[in-house]
Amino acid sequence: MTKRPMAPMLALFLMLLMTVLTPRLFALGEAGPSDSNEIKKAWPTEGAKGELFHDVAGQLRCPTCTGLSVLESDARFSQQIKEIVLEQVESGRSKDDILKYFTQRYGAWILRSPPAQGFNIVAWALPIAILVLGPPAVWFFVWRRRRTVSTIGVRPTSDILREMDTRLAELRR
Amino acid sequence: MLADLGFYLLLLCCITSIYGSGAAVLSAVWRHRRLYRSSRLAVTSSLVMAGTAAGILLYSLFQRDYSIAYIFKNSSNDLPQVYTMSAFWSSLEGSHFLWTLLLTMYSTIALWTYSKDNEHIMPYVSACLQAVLGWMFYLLISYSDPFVRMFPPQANGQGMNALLQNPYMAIHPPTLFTGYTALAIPAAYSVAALLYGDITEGWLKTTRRWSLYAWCALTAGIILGGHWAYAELGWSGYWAWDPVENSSLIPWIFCTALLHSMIVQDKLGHLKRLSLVLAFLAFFFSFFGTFITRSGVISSVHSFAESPIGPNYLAFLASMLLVVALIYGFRAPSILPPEAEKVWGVSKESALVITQFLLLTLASIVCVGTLYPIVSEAITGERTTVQAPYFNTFAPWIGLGLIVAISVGNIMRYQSNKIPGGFRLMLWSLLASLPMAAALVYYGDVLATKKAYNLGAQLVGLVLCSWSICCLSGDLLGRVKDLRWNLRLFFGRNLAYFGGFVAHIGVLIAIMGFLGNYRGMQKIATLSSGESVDFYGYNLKFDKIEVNEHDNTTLYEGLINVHRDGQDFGLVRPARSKYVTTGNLNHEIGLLSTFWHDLYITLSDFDREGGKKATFEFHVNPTVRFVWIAAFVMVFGGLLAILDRFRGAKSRDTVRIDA
Repeated sequence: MTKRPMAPMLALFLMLLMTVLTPRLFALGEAGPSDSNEIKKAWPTEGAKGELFHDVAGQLRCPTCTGLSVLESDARFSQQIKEIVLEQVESGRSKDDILKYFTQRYGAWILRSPPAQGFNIVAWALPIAILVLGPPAVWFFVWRRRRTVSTIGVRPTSDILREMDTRLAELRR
Repeated sequence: MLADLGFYLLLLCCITSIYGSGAAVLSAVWRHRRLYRSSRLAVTSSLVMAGTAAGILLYSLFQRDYSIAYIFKNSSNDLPQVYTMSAFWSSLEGSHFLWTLLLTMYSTIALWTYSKDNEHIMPYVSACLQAVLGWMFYLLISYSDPFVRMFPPQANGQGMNALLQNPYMAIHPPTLFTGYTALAIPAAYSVAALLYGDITEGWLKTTRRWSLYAWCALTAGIILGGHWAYAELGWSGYWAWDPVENSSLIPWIFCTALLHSMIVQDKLGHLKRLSLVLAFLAFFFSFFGTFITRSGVISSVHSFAESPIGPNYLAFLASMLLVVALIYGFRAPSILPPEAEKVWGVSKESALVITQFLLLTLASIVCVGTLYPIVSEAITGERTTVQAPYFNTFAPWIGLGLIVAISVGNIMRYQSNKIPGGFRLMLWSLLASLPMAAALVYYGDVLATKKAYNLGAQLVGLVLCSWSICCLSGDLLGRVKDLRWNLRLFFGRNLAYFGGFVAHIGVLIAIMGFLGNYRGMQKIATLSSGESVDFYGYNLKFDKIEVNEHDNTTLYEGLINVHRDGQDFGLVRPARSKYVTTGNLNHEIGLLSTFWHDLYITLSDFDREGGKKATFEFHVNPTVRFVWIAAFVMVFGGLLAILDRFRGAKSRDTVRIDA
């Protein structure tokens, strides 16, 4: 039982640590101008190199956001990646080379759509399979199928109606 | 003190809901009318109590009672009034509370405004709704409690997430939740029909109205969310296919599919089981989306177990799916198609089945793309990303199919492979659509697109959309002409058809708006004070950085003078806002919006000392306004269709006795 008082102390320590660390952790992914007086670079938007830059940066995901490419994001991480992309574009490397460079560094995770290799083929094959196999399936199950309803004990509607009418007539009488 | 009261009210709500659900089941089994009435009173009292609890939370928000942890985390003393109110749903606990409150409200409305024809299935409806409510209230008193106390109370709160301090965020969540919760009613009616063993006569009319209402709310909610992203996040787009967006889109697609299968059900009595399944799935996916985004499973499978709410959601969803699947398995055979032998052939109902196929394919692609990273990580251990490029490879093809289905399907006739004057209509529409498409291309400046593929996609898309609009309009004119231009008769009897017409036009306008994404342009420039840059015919001159205090923020505004063809468009003020509470810099975009395109400017960086130099990102986003207009048109169409008094009033396969 002597260890018991340690728990609150530890918790307090952890909380203190968290309060110190959390803002820093968040700051890593935060968007915003740098504190230094250096102004963020303008990325090229025209010419062959500008297009290549756009093409490549549009294919890489922003590591700290959901759903955006590095091109669309100005989180600090994305800025760094864009700088590397720009550097490589200017040194004349091709799109595939640059993408390969990033996949080797970060894994296929950095690409915004999974490359169609290995297990990832599933992600691409599934929609195509639905699109290709769906129409025949609809044709087979909806249009072509003969209904096989068991009609044992089922009376024609006219009989039921007649019976209802007689019952109603009896009630009214 | 008040917070404790709120908590106990929610606890009571949980108890009444569980009681109400049990009582409803027993009343169905025993055919006990008064027991059913008591179950209805249970949900009504839940509404009163949950409403009071919500009132307490709202009151505490305005009182800035920081002894409640939720209020401490999501508001602060300097928060403006509007956002003090919207702080209610600005975080997990509160939004779950709002969702529950709305579900209680719509359940109560649904149970009191039933039609006489549905009287015998109402106990099942009540049981289903209150079973869901029981679980939601249970979460509210366990893992998602908005009334958790904090000790010691603080003098000021941590403040609201700056991104949520936007008018669109004040109305987007309630609208979307309205859609989600309204979807519960058709789902409950479906399960009730299965339990009862047949679709009752008034079933379709009631379900159709609720589905349409849900559809309108979802449409508005989704596009409001897009508008928020566009105005607040500063990446110049409104749709990123991210998991949160996808999980709101999937129920919308199911709801759309449901509305279309209901038409066939109404006209011919077929596709009844499909309607039942779709109504349930639309509701199921509204929860499923919340589950994957809320349990943390979306960022990584391993974060799943971190919060107990994930496993709880999973257990609930799995058991709900299991129970409904069992009910369906046992009861579906008793839902019979009409007696007449059906030959589908070439007909409007076949076109509607094809539409179903396209919609469900889109839903499954969105679903596969959203879930794939989780599945892949669980199976191979490798993390993958599925984002916009993946969805954008498939979505345009589905969209193409849908445009064709909309135009051809709408002019077809039921149970007939002949379209009266069909070829003439399609041909004339094609002729009429060419000048229309040409005008769109000319004014939209489509030919400025650089890549050949993008240009081609736009041209095909615009011609098809115009053609489709002409086909629909031609069909409308034909129908009015058949009534000898008697508009009173037309609007009195065909409001559902007209609503559908308007909604489809809305969809086509939206697609034309989406096509603008193919020709977006961007320029980034670092400018010194007085320098200007030319972009897309605009002359943009940077003046200076101005610092303004505004409510709880400090704005760093980059003033830009916009000229075009000698015309002065005045100052546009893209800015960065600094919130006192967090100190982060957020984007406040500068927008110059015209009918054909938006000039969208963000201030990406600036010299903090002198304010004489800044980097701007300029975007030209074509036809964004089309999308906002489309939202209004679609919702208007949906509302018109709700007002129709006749559609769904009779189901052809039920026996009517007029005596």
